[in-house]
Amino acid sequence: MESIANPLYFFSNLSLNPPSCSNVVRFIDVLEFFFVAHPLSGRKEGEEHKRVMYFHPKGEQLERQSEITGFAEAVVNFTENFLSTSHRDISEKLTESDDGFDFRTVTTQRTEHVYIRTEDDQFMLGVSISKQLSHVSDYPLFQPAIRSILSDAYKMFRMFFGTFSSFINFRTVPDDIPKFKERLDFFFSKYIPLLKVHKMPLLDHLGGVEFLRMSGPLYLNVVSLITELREEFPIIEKVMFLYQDKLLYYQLSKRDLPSLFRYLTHNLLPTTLAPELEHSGRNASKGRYLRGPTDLTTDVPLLGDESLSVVHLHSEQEAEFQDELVGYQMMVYRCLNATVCMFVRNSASFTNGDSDRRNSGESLNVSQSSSIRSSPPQNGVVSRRLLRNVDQFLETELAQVASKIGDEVGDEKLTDATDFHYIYFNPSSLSMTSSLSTSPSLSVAASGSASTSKVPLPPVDVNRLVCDTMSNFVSDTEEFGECFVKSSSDWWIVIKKVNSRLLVLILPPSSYTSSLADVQSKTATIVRSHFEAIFFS
Amino acid sequence: MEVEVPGGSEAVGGTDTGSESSFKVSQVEIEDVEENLKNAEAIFEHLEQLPFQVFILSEFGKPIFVNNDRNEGEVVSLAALICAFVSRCQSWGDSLMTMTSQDNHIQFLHKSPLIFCVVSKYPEQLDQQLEVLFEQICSILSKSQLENVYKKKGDNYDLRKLLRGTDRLIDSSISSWRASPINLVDSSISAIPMNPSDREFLSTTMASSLGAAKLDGALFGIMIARRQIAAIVRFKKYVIHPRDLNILINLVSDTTLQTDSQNWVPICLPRFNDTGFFYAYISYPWCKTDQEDIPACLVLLSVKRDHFDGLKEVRQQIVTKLEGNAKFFTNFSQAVKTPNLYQISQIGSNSESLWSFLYLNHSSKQVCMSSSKIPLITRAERWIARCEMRRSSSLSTRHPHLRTLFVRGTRHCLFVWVTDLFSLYCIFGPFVTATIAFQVVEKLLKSLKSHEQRYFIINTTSF
Repeated sequence: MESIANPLYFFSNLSLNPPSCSNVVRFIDVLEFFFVAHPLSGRKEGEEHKRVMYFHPKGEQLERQSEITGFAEAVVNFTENFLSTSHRDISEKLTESDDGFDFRTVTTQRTEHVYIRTEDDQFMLGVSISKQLSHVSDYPLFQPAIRSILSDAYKMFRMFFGTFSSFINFRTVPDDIPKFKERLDFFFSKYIPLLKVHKMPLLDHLGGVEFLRMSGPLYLNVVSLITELREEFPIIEKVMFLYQDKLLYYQLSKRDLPSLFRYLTHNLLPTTLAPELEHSGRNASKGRYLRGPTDLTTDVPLLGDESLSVVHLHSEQEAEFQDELVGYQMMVYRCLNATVCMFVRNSASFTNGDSDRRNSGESLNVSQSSSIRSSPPQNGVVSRRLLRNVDQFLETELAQVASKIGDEVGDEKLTDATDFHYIYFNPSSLSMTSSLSTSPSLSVAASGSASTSKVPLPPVDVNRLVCDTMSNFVSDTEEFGECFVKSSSDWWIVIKKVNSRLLVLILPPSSYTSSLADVQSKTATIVRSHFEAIFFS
Repeated sequence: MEVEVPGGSEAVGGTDTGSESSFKVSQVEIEDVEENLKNAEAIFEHLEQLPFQVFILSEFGKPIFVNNDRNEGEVVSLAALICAFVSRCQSWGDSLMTMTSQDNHIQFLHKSPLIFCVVSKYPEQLDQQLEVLFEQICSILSKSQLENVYKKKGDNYDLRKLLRGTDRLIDSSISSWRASPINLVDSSISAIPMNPSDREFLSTTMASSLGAAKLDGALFGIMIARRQIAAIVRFKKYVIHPRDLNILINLVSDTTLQTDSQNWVPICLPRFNDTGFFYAYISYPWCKTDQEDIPACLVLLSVKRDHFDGLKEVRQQIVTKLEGNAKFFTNFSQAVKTPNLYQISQIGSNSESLWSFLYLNHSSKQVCMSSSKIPLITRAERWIARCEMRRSSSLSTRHPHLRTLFVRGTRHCLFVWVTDLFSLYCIFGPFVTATIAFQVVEKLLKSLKSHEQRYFIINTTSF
C-alpha cells in the first residue's frame, strides 16, 4: 500500500484505459527504450553498467543497457568535436536558462534517439522511439517534441523528488545510489506507462497550458479571491486556480507551471471525478481537500498517510533563471469544478541540496523501514488547523466564484464548434489552446470542453508537414511570420506568428479554399471570429 | 489549374539531358571582398564555419579522404569513432543515419566497403550529398573494383593508393554543393542559354559526325560549358542519368585537364553501369588558342578502349564544321563566354517584386535559375536565397504531398509551387501579397514556356 502522501499515488490505474480519443498515442506503444544514466559512475573498466540508473524496459540485459548508454555517451563526446566556439557559448547559455537542455539526437534506419544532459551535464536521459511502431500508431516523429517529452519527464521527477544530484553526493553519502535508483524506478515505472503523447507533436513540443477564457469581471472575482486568500494566510506562497481542466490564474514560476498543470489535470483531478459523480446529489457545493487528512476536527500531527505531499518548485518568481529548488507542501482544495492549489514552503527542507544532506540519514532509515516514500517525512508547516482555517475561508467564497464561472462556461459552450483545427500558443503566458489536444477523461466527462470540432482529424502526413514547416520556416527568434502550405490532399496549413504569439490553422479540404487568396481571406475571417481578443492579424 | 510547362513537358524517358548549373559562374559577377583572415584564431573560426566537413574511410576505420585541416592524429581517432558507431548500429541490426547536436548535423552513409560522414550546419540533403560522393568514387574505381580491392588486398589496405590524385575531384564535388541548392542540381542539370537554331546546328553537327564515324560503342557526345550543357547527342535510345552527367561535368571542370588539348580518361558512370567503364575523349577545342578562349569542352563517350583515334577524328570534324559556320560560331562563343541567363525583367510588368527563382522540370530534370538581381547580389545575399530554396526543396522531398508554400518573412517572402510536372521556388520581396505573387508566377511560367528552347534542351538528337 503506498502512502497517500505520495503524490504518485494518483498515477493510479484510472487512466490506464486505452485512449478514448485518437488524438493521443500511448508513449509506451512507440517506445523502444528509456534510460537515466550517470556517466561518472561507470568510468571504471568493467563497471560500465554502473552508470545505468534506470532503464526501461526493465527486463533488458545488463550488457545491452550499458551498450546503449555507452553509445549515447560516445555520441555526446563525438559531436563535441564539431561544436564551434560560438556554439559553446550558446550551449552554456542554454544550460543556464535551464529550460533548453543540451541535447543530441541520433537517427538510425529503425529508431530515433534523443539524449538530453542535465545538471551540469552530470546526468543523461535518453529515449528511443521505434519508427515502425510510430508508423503503426500514426504518430509522426518530430524530434523537438521527443526532446520536450524527455525534458518534461525529467522536470516532473525533479518536481516530486528534487534534483538528481541531490541523491548522488559522493562527498557525504556514497550509498545514496540505491536510493536514487529506487526513486527513479518508483517514478518512471509509473510515469512512462501512463504517458500519452499527441498525434500532433507540436502540442507536446510547445508544452503550454490551457487557460479558461472568461469575462473581465469574473476574472477580477478570481483575482480578488486569491488576493484575499493570500492576505489572510501569508504563509501560502504560491497559488494556482483551475476550473475543470483549465487554468484561470497562477502565482508561481513559469518554469514549474507546465509540469504542475500536467500533473493536476492528467493525474490528480481525474481521480477525483468518480467520487464527485457519486456524491453529486448531496452536498455538491461543499468544498474538500483532495489530498491529506480527511478528518480536520482534531489537532493530531499530520503523519504518514495523512501528511501532505511536497513538490520542488523554483523559489522566486522574479529570478526566473535561478536554479534553486525549494520544497513546498501542496494543498489542493476543490469545490464545484474549481480547484485551488496552495503551496506552503516546507520548513523541513531548505534548498534542495541542503535538505538532502541534512535529512539523508533520516530518510534513509525511513526508506528502509517503510518500503517506498516519495518525500522525506517531516512535520510540515501545514497543520490540521491551517487546513481547517483555509477550508472555512474557501468554503463559501470559492463556491460562489465557482458557480459564477459555471454559469458563464455553460452559456458559451454551444458557440464553439469550428470547421477547422487550430493551435494557439502564447509563449509569454504559456497559454495554449487547440482543437487537437485532449485533456483525458475530465473534459470528456464534464463534456463542457470536449473537442467541439466537427472536422475530421488531419491525416498523419498533414501533422508531420505542420511540424516540419514549423521547424523550417518559422523562426524561433523572429516575432512575426506567416506561412501558408497546401498539401496534395487539399488540406491547407496556415501558421501565423504575431508578436511571438503563434496561431496554427489546419483547414480541411473545402471548395472555399482552393487558392492562396481564398485561404488568406478565410484566415482573416477565422482570426476575427475566434481569436479576436488574443491575436492580432 | 492547368499550366503549360516549360522545359519539355512532353518529354518521356528520352530527354535526360542538360547540364549542371554552377550558379557561381553564371551569375552577374560581382567581386566579393573576401574577409582577411588575419590571425590564426580567425582562420580557426573560418574552418569551423566550413559548411561541410567530409570524412571518407574504409569500414575498417582507415581514413581515405578528409577535406579539413585537422591533424593526422585527430583524423585517425575521429575515423575510428565513426567506424565504431557504424558497426555498433550494425550489430544491433540497424544502420546509423544521422546525429545532431545544437545545430550541427552529421550524416553517415555506409556503402560497404566504405563509410562516408559529413558534418554540416545545414541538415538538408546530406544523405544525397554522400550518395553523390560515393558515386564520385565509383566513377574512378567502379563499384565492383571497389568491392574486390579489400578482398584481394586485405582489410588494412590503404585505398588512397588507388585514388591518388583524385582528391581534387572529390573536393570540387564537395565545393559544388556550396554553390547550389544541392538536390536540384545533383539530380538535375541546366542548359546553357542559346539561340534555338544554334543549339540545333550544334547537336546535328555532333550527331552527324558521330554517326558518320560508325564507331560501334561510341554512345554519347556532350558539349559542356561553364558546368552547363550546351548540347547532348546519343546513340539510339541510350540515356545518361543527370547524376552521371554531373560526374562528367565535375571531371571536365578539373583545371589540370584543361591544359592539354585532348585527354583519354576511363570513367565509370555508376547510374549507367556501376561495373564497367566508359572511355571519355575529352577536349577543349578552343582553350587558350591564339584568337580567343572559349571555355567549352567536348566530351565523346565510348565503351571501347581503342576508340581514341576514331573519336579524335570525330572531334576534328565537329570542330571544323562548327568553325566553318561563322554566324553560328560567333553566337556560340558569345553564349558560352557571357551566358545570357534568364532575366526577371523579361517577365514584364509587375515583376519587380520577384527577386529570384529556380525552376525544375521534373520529367527532363532540367533547371533554370534566374540571373541575380538586386537585392540578391553579394555572395552572402545569394547564399541566403539558396538556403531558402534548399530548405524548401528538401521539405518537398520529405513531403511529396506538398503543393504550395508561401512564407512571409521579415526580409523576403518565399513562394514554392510543386506539381507533378515541375517545382518552382521563388524569392519575393517582403511586401508582396499572395495574389500578386501568384500573378507574377503565372506570367513567369508563360515567359519560360515561350522561350523554352533557349533555356532548356527539349530534344536530344540521336545518331
